[in-house]
Amino acid sequence: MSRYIARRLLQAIPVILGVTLIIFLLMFILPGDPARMLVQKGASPEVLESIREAHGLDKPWYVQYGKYMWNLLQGDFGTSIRYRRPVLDIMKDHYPNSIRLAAVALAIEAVIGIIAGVISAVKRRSFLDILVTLSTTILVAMPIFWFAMLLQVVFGLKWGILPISGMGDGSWRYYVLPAIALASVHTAYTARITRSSMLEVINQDYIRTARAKGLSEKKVILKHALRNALIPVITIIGLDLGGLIGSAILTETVFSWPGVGRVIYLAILQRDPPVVMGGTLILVFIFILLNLLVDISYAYLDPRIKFEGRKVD
Amino acid sequence: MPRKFILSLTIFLVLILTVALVVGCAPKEKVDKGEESVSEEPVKGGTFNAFLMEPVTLDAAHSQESEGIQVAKQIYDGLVDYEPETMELTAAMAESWEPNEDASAWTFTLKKGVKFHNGRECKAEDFVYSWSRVASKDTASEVAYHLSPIKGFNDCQEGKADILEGVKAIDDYTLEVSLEYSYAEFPVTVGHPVFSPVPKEEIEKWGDEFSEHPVGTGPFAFVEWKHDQHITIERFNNYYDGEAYLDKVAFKIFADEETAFLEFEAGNLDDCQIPLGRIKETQDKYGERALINPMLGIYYYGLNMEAEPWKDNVELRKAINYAIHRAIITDTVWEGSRVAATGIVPAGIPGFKEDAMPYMFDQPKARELLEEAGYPGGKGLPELVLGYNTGAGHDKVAQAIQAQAEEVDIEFDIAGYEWGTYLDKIQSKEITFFRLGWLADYPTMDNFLYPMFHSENAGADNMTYYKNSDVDEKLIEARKETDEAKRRELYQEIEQIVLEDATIVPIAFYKTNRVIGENVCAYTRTAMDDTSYEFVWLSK
Repeated sequence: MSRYIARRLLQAIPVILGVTLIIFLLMFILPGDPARMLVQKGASPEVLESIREAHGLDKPWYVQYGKYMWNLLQGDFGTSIRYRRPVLDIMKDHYPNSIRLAAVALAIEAVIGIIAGVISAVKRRSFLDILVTLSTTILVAMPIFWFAMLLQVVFGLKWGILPISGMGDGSWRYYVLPAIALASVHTAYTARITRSSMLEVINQDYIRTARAKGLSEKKVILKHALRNALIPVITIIGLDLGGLIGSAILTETVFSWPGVGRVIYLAILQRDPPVVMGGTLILVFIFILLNLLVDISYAYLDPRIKFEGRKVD
Repeated sequence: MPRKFILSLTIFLVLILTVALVVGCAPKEKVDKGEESVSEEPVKGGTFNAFLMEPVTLDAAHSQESEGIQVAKQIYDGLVDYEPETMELTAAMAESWEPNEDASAWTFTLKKGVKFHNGRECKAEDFVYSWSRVASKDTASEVAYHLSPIKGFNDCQEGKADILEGVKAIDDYTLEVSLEYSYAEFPVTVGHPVFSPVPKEEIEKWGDEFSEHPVGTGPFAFVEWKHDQHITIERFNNYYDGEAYLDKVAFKIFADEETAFLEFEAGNLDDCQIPLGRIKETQDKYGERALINPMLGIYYYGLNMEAEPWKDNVELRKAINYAIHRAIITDTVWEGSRVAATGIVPAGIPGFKEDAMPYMFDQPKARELLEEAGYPGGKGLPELVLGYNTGAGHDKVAQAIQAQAEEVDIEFDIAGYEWGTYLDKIQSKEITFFRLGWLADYPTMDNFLYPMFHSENAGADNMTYYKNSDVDEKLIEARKETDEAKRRELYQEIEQIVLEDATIVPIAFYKTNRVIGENVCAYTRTAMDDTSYEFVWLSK
């Protein structure tokens, strides 16, 4: 197992290098001068030139990239052009908030999504199945920002039982609405995937055998069917955490949640390459780790999956 | 488990449907015409929860965006300030100021006993240090250009000098400033936060992190900045100009105006920006608590004077100006949150000339000028594109302008771009008909006319590349003129020439759009769209 993990981590190096190069080039070719974006007024050619010089933006792209990578190897993620703060400080301020919110959203997604999917599959064509199908369709179709505002207006403004926005003192109450909004679409997808995966497994021979053995329906579903049906679901949920961190811009905006998605988005708009690079790199690293964890979890769900080399008889 | 789940799911779905119905059928709120009861005497104490979006910096040397300036104005003080209601120049840390004969040098006498928040007295030498720091090449301040009239500025910018040659501390309380040229309105410019003194020892202690630990001489001292969450400042008890009433001001940081407005409606904010599209509704609901006041800013469309078809075709430029019914746009698209432009310099600036613009909405005149321009009935007019930056409702204004121009046979497409791309396209002259705005840095006519129309600023703040030697000369002459009445006359003349040349299409003057809580007293939203919280107090 440890060799497998080491190998996977080594494989991540070219991925990270590739990502840095692609993001750097994309930021470089993007129209819009970072120096001009920095100065709202008085942007004479001399002022712009001195800003470019101060931030090394006057150098060719490969020199800038080389310098960035050299600093990165030494643990220096650079300094934000716009905020004049070390990128790592900005990330430390925002990533934990995003990860916490994504984790709560993921828990909602996993618990509600899987339970709804299983019930929908087991009670196929029943009222419950129709209810789940209908509600997941509504959730997927609803724009997140609209759903988020609806939650704010009802639970925050009208009933006043939950905070409308922000993180406040960091209590659980501040997580409820943004986490529900963030999890909504993902929960619907998870329910749908669980349902179809369960339906596929339920019709397998070994499920019939399990029933023929006289096992209780609860045991058949939970131990034999669900465990096998969960493999694709776990893949989706595992990778969703990364998605929930990086793509929470709408939720973060509507709830004024101090997360990293909005920081990266604004950095792209403001042409702040160090922040875009730093934010994306950490996200890529999280994705790689999650992928690895998902792969490892397969071994526990399905004993046929092994990571070490097969023994030769 | 399944039963519980069924129950939960059913409740959830029913809840969603109920919510949609409740929101859709909600009765209108009771109208509040602002007859709130307030105590007669100011009350000390309380925390004011203010609306803010995340600032870029709190370091005075880099103060350029409105969010940062809003907080900076509470933490820092300068030599002078502007009276919140009238924008007239008032003394702050300076007791008095005197020019030499031709206003090329100014002597400021400082008040004694002004303290920094760290307890040390602020003296003339602190101004020498702070202004030199802004001008220094190492600081790379985005707003250093405000100091460009001061002698030695270029040497500092080029890294040849560390100290601004033109700023001298004659003694602890006398500051002498020598300028490169006569500049009668120089004292007005030093009200900008970039001229605020900062303590050298704090800069040396925090280095680049000073923005996270700002120290000034203002009525409030910095407490904490939790990025994208809040900034807290507290009353500075040793403030030289009388203590503020509020114990604290907590700037709550929002990413979205709509969300902030919900917080305001829930009673969690004491002031808030009114989101676009909700101005009328807010005015109806909150009455006088909705502060829709004139602001020192212009919203305009620029015409590139070096590009066809605008170049050398003043008739065409004038035709567009005549084709626009500004009041319709301000009343409908902006719901009255802007006022139709009557010139370049907005009301509220000393010297403002009413109806400076010779162009009122006149469709026959527009058609006539179009014909004179060589495009009768719009025939032969090249393909034109009106550019705007996406967001903030600029698309709706562009659509209205497009429709109005079409009525006089001036047809063009409209295209929205993301801000960075947009600026690139304007500067590369790919877009020659474009939307821009200009907000005052200080309340002077010069601040509108010099940056936007002096040829030395072409391609920078002068985005239309307008070049008129007569205007250039008059702008310099006006800066030198020490007689206030004559100076204003000169600026009015310049404004008239620029308007006659029709290099821009003034559309509207900005207005503030704030709303305040019912227990908020003595709150003024100035024409520069900021508030001095030192005067504010909370009743109840």
